[in-house]
Amino acid sequence: MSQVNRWAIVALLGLLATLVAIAGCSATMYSVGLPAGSQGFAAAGGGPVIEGPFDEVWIVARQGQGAAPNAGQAEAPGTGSLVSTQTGSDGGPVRAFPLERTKVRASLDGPVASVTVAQRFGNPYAETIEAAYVFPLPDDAAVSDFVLRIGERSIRGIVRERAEAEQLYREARNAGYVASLLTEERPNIFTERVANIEPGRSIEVELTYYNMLAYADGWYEWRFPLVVGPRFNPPHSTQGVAAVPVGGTAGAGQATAVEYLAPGERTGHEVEIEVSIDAGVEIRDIAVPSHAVDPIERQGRAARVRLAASDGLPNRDFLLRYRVAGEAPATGLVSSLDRDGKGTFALTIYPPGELRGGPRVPLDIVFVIDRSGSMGGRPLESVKEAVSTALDSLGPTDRFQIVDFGSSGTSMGGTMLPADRQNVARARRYIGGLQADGGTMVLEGLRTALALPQEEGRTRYLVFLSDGFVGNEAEIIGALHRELGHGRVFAMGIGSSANWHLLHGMARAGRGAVADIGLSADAGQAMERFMGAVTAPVMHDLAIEWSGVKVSEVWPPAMPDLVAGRPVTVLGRYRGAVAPQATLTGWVGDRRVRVPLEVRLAQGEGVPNLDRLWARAKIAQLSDDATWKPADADVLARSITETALRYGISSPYTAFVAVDAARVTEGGPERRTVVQPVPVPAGVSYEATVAPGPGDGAR
Amino acid sequence: MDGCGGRGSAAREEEGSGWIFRTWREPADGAAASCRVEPDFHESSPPADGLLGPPGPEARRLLGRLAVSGPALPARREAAIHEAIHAGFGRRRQQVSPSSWWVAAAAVALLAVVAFLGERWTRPTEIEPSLALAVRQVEAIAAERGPDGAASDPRVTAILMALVAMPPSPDARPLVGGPRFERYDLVVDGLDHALAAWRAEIDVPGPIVGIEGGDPPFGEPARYDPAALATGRVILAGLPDPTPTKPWAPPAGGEVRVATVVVRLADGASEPAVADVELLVPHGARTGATLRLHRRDTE
Repeated sequence: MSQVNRWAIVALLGLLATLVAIAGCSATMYSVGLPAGSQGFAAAGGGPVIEGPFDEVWIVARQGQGAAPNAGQAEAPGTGSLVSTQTGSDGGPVRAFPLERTKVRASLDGPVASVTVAQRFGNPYAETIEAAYVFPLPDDAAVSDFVLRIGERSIRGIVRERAEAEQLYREARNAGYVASLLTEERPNIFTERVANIEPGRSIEVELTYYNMLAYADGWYEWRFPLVVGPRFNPPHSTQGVAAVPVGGTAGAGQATAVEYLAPGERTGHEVEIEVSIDAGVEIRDIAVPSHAVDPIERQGRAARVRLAASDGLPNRDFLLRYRVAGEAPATGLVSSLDRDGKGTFALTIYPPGELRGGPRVPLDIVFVIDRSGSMGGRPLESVKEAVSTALDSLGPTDRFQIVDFGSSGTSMGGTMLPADRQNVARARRYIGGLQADGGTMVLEGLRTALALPQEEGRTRYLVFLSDGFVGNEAEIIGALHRELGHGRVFAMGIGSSANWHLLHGMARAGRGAVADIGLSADAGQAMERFMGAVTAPVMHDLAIEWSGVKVSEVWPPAMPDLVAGRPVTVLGRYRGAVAPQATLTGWVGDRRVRVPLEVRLAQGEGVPNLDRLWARAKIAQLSDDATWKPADADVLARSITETALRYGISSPYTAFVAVDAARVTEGGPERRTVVQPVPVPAGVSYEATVAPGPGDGAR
Repeated sequence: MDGCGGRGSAAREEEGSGWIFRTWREPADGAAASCRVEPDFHESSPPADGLLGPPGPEARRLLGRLAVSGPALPARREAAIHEAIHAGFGRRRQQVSPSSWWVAAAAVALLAVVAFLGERWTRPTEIEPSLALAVRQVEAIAAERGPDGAASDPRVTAILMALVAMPPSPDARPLVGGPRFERYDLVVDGLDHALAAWRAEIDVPGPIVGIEGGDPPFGEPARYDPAALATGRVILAGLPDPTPTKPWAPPAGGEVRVATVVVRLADGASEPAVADVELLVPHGARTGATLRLHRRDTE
């Protein structure tokens, strides 16, 4: 072999070894000499034999992987082996986990809520850790601020494309810096990670979001979810949300996992909630049906509500309602104007008075009842009470059917039945015999309902009653878009922590509305109000005619029906006059209706952050479209990403990352991830919903 | 070949017999943690035929410093170096042709680029003692052979390749050679009035990953323009924290840190710079103060 070739081999082998080392194989390179004329060399570890006469061979040997525990699943939280038990204030045992406190400050200013959520993480262990916490937010929350607070210092996080944010977070974590990452798993489920929390230290993560207040039956409503309910994932699902016991995340088999505390267990996680209201007009009533609160401070149009310290267990939604003096307005409009003259508006249209008290319209109504394991106990009893009340309100011209589903869908019968006394009595017996069990195969139930024969000229209403505890929301919403036809969907949330992302998505797909049955004893009253709304005339096929202003990108583009007691809100962009003319058009029965709207757009800056709410509404619509237009998935994903980045908000494809590069933490880059467990929601059975072993979903 | 990104003010250069290595410390980081070694070649002075000549006085002085500085090497690395040296130089004399020289040179240059761009590198604190050990062993072999004892320069480059390509120790962190996180203070100079608001566009050669609050009353982190960021521009703006009881006055010297940005930089990236700035004092008047960026060390 010539001198030139020999050195070329040496150089190339050296380069190969370098590339292997750089690629992360932790290779070790040795150079050994062989006697000239040797005929071959067996690579270390019994590898292939290299033939040929060499006087020099470079060996690349792979090191063992033992130095990095959990290296194979560095991104899978939940080694879960760290447990520290402390004594609570009541003397009982408390399992110490990273999340120490959640502090919520909400400001309800007109129809817009500005909410700051501060989560304080500590480290009760002897080694540096990464904390991971899966938590809920309202499904219409536009998360737009993210600040990491370490002692006196504050570091604002940056929104980036999700993959890039995750990469930056990994690099910072592996370099030993304190860092935090906020990702959106669902519009109402987020994951917070905080890397390199040293023993005994506390780090606070503060996020701010904006959303619109809900309005139903004369009450404004602000809801703050405190726990993610245990989700069921259909067989073969991998992108769901698993419900696992403490320490079970790594084997959950789903993209997201929530760890649940066993009955009787609790952590030291404290919750504080303070809500300030400025209603703009005098407040008549305030109610907090979900929690105990301190005495409410009220003064004219303002009020302050605080969660009582004795009721801080984060196992159900915090729900605040208030109503104002005087009649509900015909329209509510808020707007803001950019410096470039382009504005954003949110228009809330209240049902015209003629709907309430109008002639009753015949109904074709199918009650679709969730009787899965998570509905066991009080939730299913609430459903039975609500449906029983609804049956009472049916008239002789109405038709109905009962469909129920667990692991499969069944129905009381195969046709729509007249709502006569005999059939109603039969229906009562049927629902009285329903038992909660099995999985939550929502699509089985919906398809059973959609397969019922339909009569020309009658609109079918699906009244869906469920806690919504499933991880395949997109599949369900997409199926409704494709298969519903001219039907309408009204989704009723059952329980203390229903999955409102699913329920709102179903209502959007079905151009209907949602209602909250909750867990309270007045499930029947809630249903009575709802039936009063849907049996009154409905204004459908709505549209808004604008003149004097150029309006674009209105979300949702297909407005839902306007039913009594439930307004419709749309968000859009505009350019033009301050006081344009707007007219709502639609149909009530076979009568064409035109309702002039009183609107006045902002001259100055207007309502802050309205553009972010508009962006969030746009993302919701694009996400809905993506569920049933797979061919457009890439384009829609790109559009969602661009919208989220432009307005600096969270989305499925964007994430917030914050890095504190002030110092490298002690103890080296941690490899241990501790997942914050949560209690199952109030009224939900742990045994029926939390998978006993890896890979199983909730039932 | 200067790979220190323009910050090699303390660079050292030493010429041996046909090869050069450079060491430098990046002043901002100070310690050997940022020291890097890179081989280079002088085309204008090709080496004598295959000889590794005895080091000159300057080289001896440098080698002496290398030998006593830095921590002891792990036994595994020492053994590897010893083995590599004796495999490369411990046997018969090799003749060198110009073409073999160029093959090795090209390989080393490519190696340097790959390692420069990669995320892994030999633990910095091990580079100097590794080189010292290697050079001393070569020197000992050359001394044993006398004036005719020879080792080819490509062999020397191969040894350097081996040293550079050796993996980091299991507990090593990729502090050098890969992306790093740096902090840059935004400091307003020359204030003679309270600063009421500021806005700045900065050119950053990497993604910003955090905006830290500045000194009081700018403790709350400044905001960024997400629409600009989506197009690759970094525009920051801030206001003093609300002080309802007492108006803020600029400190003596008129200097205040209004923010600190955390940036992830690839190795060799250029320094961030202020592209545009707007500083307002009360009543919206502009001020003649200036804004500068200052790199802040990791504690």
